[in-house]
Amino acid sequence: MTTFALVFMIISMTLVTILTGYCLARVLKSDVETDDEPTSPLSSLPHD
Amino acid sequence: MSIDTHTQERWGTRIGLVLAMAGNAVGLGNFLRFPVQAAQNGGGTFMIPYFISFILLGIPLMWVEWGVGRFGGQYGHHTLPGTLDELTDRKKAWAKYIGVMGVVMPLVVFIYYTYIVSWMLGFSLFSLTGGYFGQGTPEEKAEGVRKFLVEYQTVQDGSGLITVLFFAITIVFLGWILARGISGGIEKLALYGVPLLLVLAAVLVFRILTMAPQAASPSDGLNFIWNPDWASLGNARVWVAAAGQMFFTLSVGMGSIQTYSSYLRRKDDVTLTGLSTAATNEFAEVVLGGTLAIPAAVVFFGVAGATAIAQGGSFDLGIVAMGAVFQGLPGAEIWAFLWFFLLFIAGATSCVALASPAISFLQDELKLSRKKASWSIAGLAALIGLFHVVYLQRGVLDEWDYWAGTFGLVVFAAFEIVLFSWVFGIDRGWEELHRGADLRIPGFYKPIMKWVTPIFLFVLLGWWGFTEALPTLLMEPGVGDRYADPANRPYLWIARGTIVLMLAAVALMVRRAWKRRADATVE
Repeated sequence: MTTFALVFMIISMTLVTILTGYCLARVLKSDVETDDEPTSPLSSLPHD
Repeated sequence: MSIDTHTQERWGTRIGLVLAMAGNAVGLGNFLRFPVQAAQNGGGTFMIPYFISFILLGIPLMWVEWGVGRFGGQYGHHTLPGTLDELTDRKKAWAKYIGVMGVVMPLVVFIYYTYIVSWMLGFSLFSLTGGYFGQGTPEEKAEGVRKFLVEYQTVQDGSGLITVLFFAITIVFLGWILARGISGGIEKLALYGVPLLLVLAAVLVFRILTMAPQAASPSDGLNFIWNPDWASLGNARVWVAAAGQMFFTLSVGMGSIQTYSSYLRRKDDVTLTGLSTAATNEFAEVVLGGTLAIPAAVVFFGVAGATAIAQGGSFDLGIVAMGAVFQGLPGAEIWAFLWFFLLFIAGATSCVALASPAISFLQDELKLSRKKASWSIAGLAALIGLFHVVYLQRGVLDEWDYWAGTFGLVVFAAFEIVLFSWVFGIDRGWEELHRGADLRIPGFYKPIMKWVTPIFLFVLLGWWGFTEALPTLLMEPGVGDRYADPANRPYLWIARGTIVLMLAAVALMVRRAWKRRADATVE
């Protein structure tokens, strides 16, 4: 494997993995926070 | 403007929604089409326009479709005829008819895609029994798999009933999932299915990267995918292929994303969740999909052999070559089963998304229950799907795939981005996207959504229109094997006519639904 291909592959895969991990971690965190909050049936109604 | 608050169906959890959206996007294309496209278009060089397309086309369209879907959901619309009507403030009567494409195109793809997914289910079981296994060199084994596949797909004189059986099992399974509803069926499938497919893919990646070198080593396979051929960077065909792949892989321009996001609440986030979906799909494609089929094929067939296989297309790689590759490993039955079952799960999670717009349309406009709507669509898919099962060798599946699953996506996305950025207005759109947002979209995306993405799409559309769509419409033999035999033409015209009939039928239903609604308002 050429050095360029190896470096390009590692950088690409690392960036994609970091982006995915960051996004999913924030989504999971907000799911946990939402579960802790009391829910109101009115909270889902549109306002205008 | 009245706001419909009757909608009862909702997503249970945010991670469930993200996984369902990711399940929609992660399909056979991630594991089969992506490596073939990369291999055919300069390897590492393909990745450069691919990542640029992700930033300029994929991410903005993903956000737009999430926003458009949630917007329509606030007015009780879960499909695009109603959503686009609202997006134009009900001032453009034609907008709802553009939205018809967002119901029919995914349904068309659902029908033939379900048949393809049923092959994966069949091959999962044939792997466990060694049904297609043979002897000899990798090339001879591959030839054996090809022969087995053709016999499996051929329905003539009472033979090929097994393919009908697996198609029926797949349809019933998908109908059952869909009938259980958004949170009870689709979300549950995603919560179990998507992590399972990621784990299966990771296990297979580990196995392939630790294979003993044969015709070549696994690192030669990775080199084949990632090493750039700089000369092809200036080739427009490579850029068009990369942009096209971005469409297929993220499932934008289809209608499914909008239907899924229409079940969000008004202030539920769409920016972080939309980006999460796109990122998860890219992880499955770039990190896992790029490390599976091509490196495995290179190890067994060498670089020249893998190049020839990639030229043959996705199924030559995914079924024929991989079916032969796993026969060379200890525990062949298990590894082959894991591969085909991975493809089955990836396809099934996409299938339920493809069927969703048509089901929601029947619920919204014909007031059918979820169960009735789901089983009606499953029944319709079974009926029309039999046409593909029986006449597959005539090229009818490829014909549908081109018009609905390839060209149709770009046409619809072009209309959608113009409606969002120019008719609805980018400022209103920007505000809509940021309602309840957990992530602020960088400001430079505003001009991208208004100018760059539409221009990118129209260039893509123009290029494809002249180089592919027109010759395809005229059935020129050079653009597809199916046009070489004049005996196929009547079947291909029937395939085209069926799509037109479906578009006309849904347009008529839209017309009647709107008239009924207008009459009710007057009364």
